[in-house]
Amino acid sequence: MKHALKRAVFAAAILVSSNAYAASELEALKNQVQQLMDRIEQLETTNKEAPVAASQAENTEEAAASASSNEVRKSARTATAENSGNPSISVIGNFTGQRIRGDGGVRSSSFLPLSEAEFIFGANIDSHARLDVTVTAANGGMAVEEGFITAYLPWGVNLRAGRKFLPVGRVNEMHPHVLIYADRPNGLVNLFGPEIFIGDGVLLDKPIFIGDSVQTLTSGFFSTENDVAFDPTGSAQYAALARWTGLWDIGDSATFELGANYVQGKNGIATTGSMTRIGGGHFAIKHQNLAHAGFSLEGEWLRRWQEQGTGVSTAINDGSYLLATVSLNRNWHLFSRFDYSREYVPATAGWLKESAISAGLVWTFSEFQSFTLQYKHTRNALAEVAGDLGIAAGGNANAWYLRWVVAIGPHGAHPY
Amino acid sequence: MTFLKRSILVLLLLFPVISHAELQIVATLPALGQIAETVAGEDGEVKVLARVGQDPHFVPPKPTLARHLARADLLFSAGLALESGWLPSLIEVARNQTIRPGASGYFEGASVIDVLGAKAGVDRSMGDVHPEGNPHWWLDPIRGSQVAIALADRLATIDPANGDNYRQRAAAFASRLHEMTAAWKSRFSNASPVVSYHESYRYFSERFAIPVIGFIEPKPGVEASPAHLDSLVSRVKAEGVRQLWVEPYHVGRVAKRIAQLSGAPLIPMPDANEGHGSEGYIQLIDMLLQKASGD
Repeated sequence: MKHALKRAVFAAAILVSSNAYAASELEALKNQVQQLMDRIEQLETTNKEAPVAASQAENTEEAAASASSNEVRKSARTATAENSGNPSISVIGNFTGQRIRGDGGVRSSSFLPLSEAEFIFGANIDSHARLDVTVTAANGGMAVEEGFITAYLPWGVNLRAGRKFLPVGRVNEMHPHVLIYADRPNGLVNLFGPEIFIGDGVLLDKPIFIGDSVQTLTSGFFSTENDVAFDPTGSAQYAALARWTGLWDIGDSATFELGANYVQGKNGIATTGSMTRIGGGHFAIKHQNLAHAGFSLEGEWLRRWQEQGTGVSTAINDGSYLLATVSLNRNWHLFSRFDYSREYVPATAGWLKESAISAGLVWTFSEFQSFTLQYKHTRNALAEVAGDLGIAAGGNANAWYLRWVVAIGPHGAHPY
Repeated sequence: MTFLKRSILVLLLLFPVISHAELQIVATLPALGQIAETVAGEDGEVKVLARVGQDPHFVPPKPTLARHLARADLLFSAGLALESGWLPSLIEVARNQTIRPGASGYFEGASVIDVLGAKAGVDRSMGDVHPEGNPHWWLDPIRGSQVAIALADRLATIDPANGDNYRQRAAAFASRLHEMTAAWKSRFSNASPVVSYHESYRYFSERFAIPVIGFIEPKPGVEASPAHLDSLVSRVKAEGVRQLWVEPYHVGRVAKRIAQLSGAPLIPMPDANEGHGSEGYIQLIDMLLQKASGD
C-alpha cells in the first residue's frame, strides 16, 4: 500500500512536473510563435515599402531628371488638346482641284484652291455637356456649318441640340475630309444638292449593347432650309427623323454594319401641307489586319418622295452608291465607287437614270496629311449633278479631282 | 397559398438578386491587362481593348469595343496621348460617366511614373511626337511595378472591401519584379548598340542598359526616305549595330531592306504577348530579353 502510494505520488509528481514542464514549454512555444508572427508582420510591412524604396533609390537620377520632365509635361499638357482653360482648336485645310470635261464643250478646271477650311472648336462645358462648333470658310464666305451642344442624359442617352449634319444614310453626317473620295456621291447630290443635308434641331441617340453588337437608335426633330429635298425657295421647314444602326463584330478583324432611316416633314411646296419623305438603308463590311491592310465594301440607298401638291404627281428620286476600298497598308489605299440615281417621270411612267463610276488612289502621308487622286465618269446626269458639273441635264462628263487635306491642331478621331 | 402571398412571392422573384459583383476593369493594352489581372486577382474581371500585335497608336475604334467600357468600373490606360487617336471616341460611345478622364474610374499608368522623353516646344515638324513624354512605359518592369501599386490603391478606393487584397497582390508582384529585374540586368553588361524602328523601347533599353543609337523612322510616324535609309545603313555598319528591333506591326518592306543592306538581323520585338496575369507580363519581359540577347 505504502509502496503503491509512493509510486502514485511519484507518478503524480512526475506527471505534475512534466505537465509543468510541458506548460512552460508550451508557454515558451507560444511566446516564440507570437514573436515569429510579429516578425512576419514586420517583414510584410517592410516588403511593401521595399519596392517603393528600392525604386526610389534606383531612380534617383531619373527622379532628378523627372522633376524637370514633369514641368515639361505640365507645359506640354496645357499646350495640347483641350484643358480647363481652352477648347481644342484644329484647322482642316481641304485643297481640291478639279478638271471637268463634259458634253457640249464644257470645260472647267482649278488647281488646288483652298476649297474649304474648317475651324473646329470643342470642349466639355462641364461634366454634363459638351460644345462642338465647326466654322467653315468656302466660296469666299464663312458660316457656322455645325454648332451643337451634346448633353449627357441618364440611361446612356445623348441629346444633341443645335446645327448638325443630319444622320441620314451613312456619310451625310461625316465631314468631307474624312471620306476617302474627293467629291460627293452623285446619289446624295441628286437627293439633297451639292451641300451636306443640314438641320437645326434636337437629336436623341442611345447605343444598346447586345452581345457582340451595338445597336444605336436615333430620333430627332429639326428645321431645314434644304432647297432640293424640301422647299425650293429655301424657307425653313420642319421635319422629324428616326434611324437605327447596328454594328456587329465578325471575328477580331472585321465588322458588319446595317442601318435604316426615315425622314418626314412638310416641304412648303404647296399650301395643302405637302410632305417630303425620305427613307433608305445602308450597309458596310470592313476588314483590317494587324498590318493595317484590309478592304471594305459599303453602300447606301435612299428614296425621296416629294409631294408637289394636290393634283400634281409626287416627285420620286432614288440616290445610291456602292464603294469598295482596299488598304495596302496604313499609307496607301485604292477605291472604286459606283453611283446610281434615278428620277421618276410621271408623263412617261418611266425613270430617268444616271450612273457614274469612280476610281481613286489615296496616299496618307501621315495622320495629318493625305493626297487623293480620283477620276469619275458620269453618264446621263440628272438635274442636280448636271448643275454641279456644269453640264446640261442628260449629258456626260469626265472629272479629275486632286485633293490635298491637311490638319493642324489636336484633331479628334474620325468615326469608325 | 392565398393570392396575396403568391403575388408577393412572384414580385420578390422578379426583383433583381443583389449579389457581390466582381469589379469590371477595362485595360487599353494587353500588358496593362496583365498588370490589372495580377492586382485584381479573383476580385475583378479584366477586359482588354487592343489585341496582341496591334499598333497601340492605331487601334480601330470599333463601337463594339465600347460595350466593355459601358460596364466598366475602371478604365486603365497607358496615357501620354498614346491612345488619343481611338480611345476618346469609344468613351463617348460607352456613355459611362464613371470612366471619363478625371473621374474616379479613369486611371492612366503614366501619371504615377517618372516619364522619359517629355519635350517642350514641340510641333509636328518633329513628327508625330508625344509631347508629354514617351508612353511605352510598360516595357520597363520597375515602372510596371510602380503602376501596379498605384493601381491597387485606386482599386482599393473604388472597392474598399477588397482593398487589402489588391495591395497585397500588387506588393507581391512588385517585389517579384524587382527580384527578376536584378537577375535580368546581370545578363546585359556592355550590350552592343541596336537600332529600332520606332521609339517603343526607350524605357526597356534604358532599364537594361542597351543603347539604341538610331531609328528606322526618321521622325515618329514618318516613313523613311531613301536618303535616311542610306545614312542609317552606313551607321549600322560603322557602329557595329548587332540587331534591328522592330515592332511586329512595323515589319515590312523598309525594315527588311535595311536588314538586307546592313547585314544586321531584323528582330521582331513585340510590345504585347498572349498570357495572363503576372506570368504573362513576366513572360513578355523575359521574351524581349531573350530576343535582345540573341537567344
